Amino acid sequence: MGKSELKLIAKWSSPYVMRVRIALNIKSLEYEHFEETLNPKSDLLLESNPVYAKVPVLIHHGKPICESLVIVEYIDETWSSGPSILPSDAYDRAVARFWASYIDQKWFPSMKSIITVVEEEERKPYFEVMEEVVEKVEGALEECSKRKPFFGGDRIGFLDIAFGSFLGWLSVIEHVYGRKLLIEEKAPKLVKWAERFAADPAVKGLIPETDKLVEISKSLQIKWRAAISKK
Amino acid sequence: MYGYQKKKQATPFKHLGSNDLKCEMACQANEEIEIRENEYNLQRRIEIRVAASESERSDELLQRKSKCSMQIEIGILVSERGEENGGSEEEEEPVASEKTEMQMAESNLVLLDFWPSSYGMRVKIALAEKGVSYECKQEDFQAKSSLLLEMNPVHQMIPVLIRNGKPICESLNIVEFIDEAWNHKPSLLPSDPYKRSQARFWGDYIDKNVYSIGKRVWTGKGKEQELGKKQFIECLKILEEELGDKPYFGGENFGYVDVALVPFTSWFYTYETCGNLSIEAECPKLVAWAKRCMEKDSVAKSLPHPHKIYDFAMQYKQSHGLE
Repeated sequence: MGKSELKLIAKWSSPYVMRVRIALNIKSLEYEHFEETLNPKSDLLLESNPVYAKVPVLIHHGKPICESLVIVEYIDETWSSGPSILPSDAYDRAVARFWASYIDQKWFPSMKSIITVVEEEERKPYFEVMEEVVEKVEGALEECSKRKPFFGGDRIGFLDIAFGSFLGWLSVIEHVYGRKLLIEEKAPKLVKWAERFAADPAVKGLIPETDKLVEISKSLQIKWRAAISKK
Repeated sequence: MYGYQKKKQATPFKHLGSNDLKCEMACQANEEIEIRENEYNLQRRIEIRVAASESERSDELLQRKSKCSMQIEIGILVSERGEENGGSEEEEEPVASEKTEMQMAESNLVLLDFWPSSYGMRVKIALAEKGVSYECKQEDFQAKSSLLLEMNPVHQMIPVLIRNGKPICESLNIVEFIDEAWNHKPSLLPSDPYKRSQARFWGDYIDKNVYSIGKRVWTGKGKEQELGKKQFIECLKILEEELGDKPYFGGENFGYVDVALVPFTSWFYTYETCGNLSIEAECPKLVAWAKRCMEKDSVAKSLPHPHKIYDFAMQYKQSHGLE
């Protein structure tokens, strides 16, 4: 697989981009990394993702694929000889997709709201949502892992990628707002899983440093608050 | 007639008639079944190789696994007497004629539904496409059943497909599961990974936009409704562009994206009446596509009449003070 066949429009801070990079690593794929500035958005991005103009976008033989989980499934199906990312059983796949969709619906929107809102009081309901997610995902880990180290079993899989990609941003929330969410008492399995996930060869070096994310969260906060006040 | 020889304990196979070749599906892990004809003068040899990832044994009826990947290769050699079927290696997949067996087998399939829900309709269409029968239970959102709460504790929403007591939730998730678990034709998702990725992308786009924007059209008022109408038409136009000149989003064949979108067309009359707009005027190709889909049995049977949806919408608005 030559580098020229695969291109990834990326952003170092994006958990969604991270999902794709982990998947590419699992399949040991070489690719050209195109770091998107997002301000202004590159022509390449606007051409390859006209609907959303968002990263990640994977371009394979000139054809773009958008939306992180769609891309991860595409990678798994196209390079089917490598280690599998999705479970082999149809029911297990449905369960994995369900939880990944749940995480996307609840997790990042809550994080975004926590960063955006001004008052401490306004943050409370979003923290409650995040705590509920942790509790449910702890249950999902028990259900999916079947006593193995990862959601995907012996190796990291679809759901590990879907949730683990947010670990960097989770530590931003915990650090800036002084509220631990992934704690031993509430989610013992997830705490251990997080360590294993971060140490996995496909993941190593991809989780951005918390300090750098905290920096960028400040400019995102300004941007998101401005967008609300415009409405 | 042909007898058969089994290597291992297996479900019985039907006799294979000389002119009328039928194959029954049996899903058993790592099992090879050879069928040899007793009558050597016809010299037919049929090899059926079934490979599956999991095996479940049921008593009498067909065995079905939740993931079934089957390869049925039928090689028919021309006999010296010249069989009418001719000699060619054919690859045959079980098709709709085997439906009756499947219907019998699926005695333990329940769909929790709410009849005006576009999401529930998706699942009904998918099941109808596959010729799978099931029990449909209507949910009352004022009083959710204990079954719904048990099967979908996270969202407590319909649709939920319950197969042998195990729930699958989220409509497009269920549709994909149906396509995989009953992997005979017609396929809902294409086999090519790139085309599959595009189908999933558009399914996701429809999920993120159509319902939420549409709701502003039929429940909104004043400026909010005007903005909703504008965004709704924009959304439909994007979808219309994706459809292009193809008969279906799936191309020549009705598929996943068609299943994802067509239920919302039962709500078009409601959007148009409440929003005072004409979808046909704005998106004629999309409306033509909707009519084409309605010619399919699976769609016509699964979508309520638009006037019924309108009546429901009016009642909903009244009871929620949205008039």
